[in-house]
Amino acid sequence: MSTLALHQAILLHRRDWRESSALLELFSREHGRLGVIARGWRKRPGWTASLQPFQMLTLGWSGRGELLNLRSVESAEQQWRLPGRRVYCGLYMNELLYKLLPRQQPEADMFACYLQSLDALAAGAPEAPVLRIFEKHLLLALGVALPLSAGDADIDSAARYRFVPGQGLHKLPPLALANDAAVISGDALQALQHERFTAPGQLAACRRLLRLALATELDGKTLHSYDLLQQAGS
Amino acid sequence: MSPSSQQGQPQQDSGEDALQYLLRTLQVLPGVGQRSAQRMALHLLERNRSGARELAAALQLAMSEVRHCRQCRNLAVTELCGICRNQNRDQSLCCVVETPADVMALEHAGVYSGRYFVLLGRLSPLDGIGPEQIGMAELEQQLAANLISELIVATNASIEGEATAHYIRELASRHQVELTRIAQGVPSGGDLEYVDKNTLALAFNHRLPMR
Ligand SMILES: [Zn+2]
Repeated sequence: MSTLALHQAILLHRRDWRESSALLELFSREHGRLGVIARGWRKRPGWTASLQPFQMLTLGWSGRGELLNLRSVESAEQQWRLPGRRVYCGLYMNELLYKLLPRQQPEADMFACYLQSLDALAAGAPEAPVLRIFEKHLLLALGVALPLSAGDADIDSAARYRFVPGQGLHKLPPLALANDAAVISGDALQALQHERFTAPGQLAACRRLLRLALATELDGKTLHSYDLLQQAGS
Repeated sequence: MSPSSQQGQPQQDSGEDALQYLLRTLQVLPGVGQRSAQRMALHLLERNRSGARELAAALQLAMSEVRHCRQCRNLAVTELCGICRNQNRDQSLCCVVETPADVMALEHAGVYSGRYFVLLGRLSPLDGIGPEQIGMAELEQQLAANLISELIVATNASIEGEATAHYIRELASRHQVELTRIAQGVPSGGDLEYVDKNTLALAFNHRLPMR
């Protein structure tokens, strides 16, 4: 038997599949999001204990295309403990990745951002900035027209902008009467661009904008963990 | 879900005879595929027809009689289950579990004499299971009505079990009800070297003073 290639991945979701198997939705370092079948996983104590979200797994699988079979699970070398409602934040990130990332498309930057977000949540950093930065990177990974990378063109901090799904941001004329969820101040945009939130209100403004942009990408799909977070107040 | 909605007339497919119908329906049982269905059908038809008639009657009766207890959501044949009606049990002590199988396990162990609340699931946003699906509104009503003095959380040691436990903690603190959680750790008779890393970590985090 040839040696099995090993991959680092984090479990996003596990669903029972047929009698004794499970379908694993993984986010892997090299291959992005993918689905792998764990046959007879309940009968393997090592697998049942390890196949949980929020831990780095070293996995071996075989097969090609959409039909991958799990062959080996190495116990987690790193895991993130998310106490209390931080577990909702983690589930929220997982749900976004699961519902929005296309399968089998490498997403190295997004994977790095996901790890950083888990680090920050586990270390007790304030939740809201972590989630907003995560949402921004996810939108950039999906190719949404938001000029929010660090190197993008200057945003006028004194101006106001309107987000138009499919097009991006339009600068509003100075005296335009507009104050709906799609309108955001240049100041808040800059904070999101540089990932540094200083003035109160910036986070809330960014949250509205990102929510709108994500809703467009979700195309009617419900985010159940968002409701949980809402109830918990972040 | 009303029990009667599950009832129905036989849904025999056209062109399917009685034997084929039986072979197909036996496969609703967990772990039963074509081969096992065939073995079961032949056994019932060839060797034990009276047992088979009894099985059919028992299934029919269970489907019309068994429902969920109005208070604890466990399977019950009366509006309130036997545990909720038992005045010899401490009705102010309530243990929250995920499934009826968990109740059976705890009852079998015989170590608990309060009552239960059965979630019939766990919070799992990626499966679309939120607080409403696991009866959180009903649990909150019972907390608000001061029916419970201590809640014992016995959800599974999984991420979803953790999220569920946290939701219940919020409810309990809102209603100022004492909350405890069953300890997690090394199984009795278990060798440390075979215990997985996560369980060992939990066992260390939940260590107790030695008395
Ligand atoms: Zn009951």
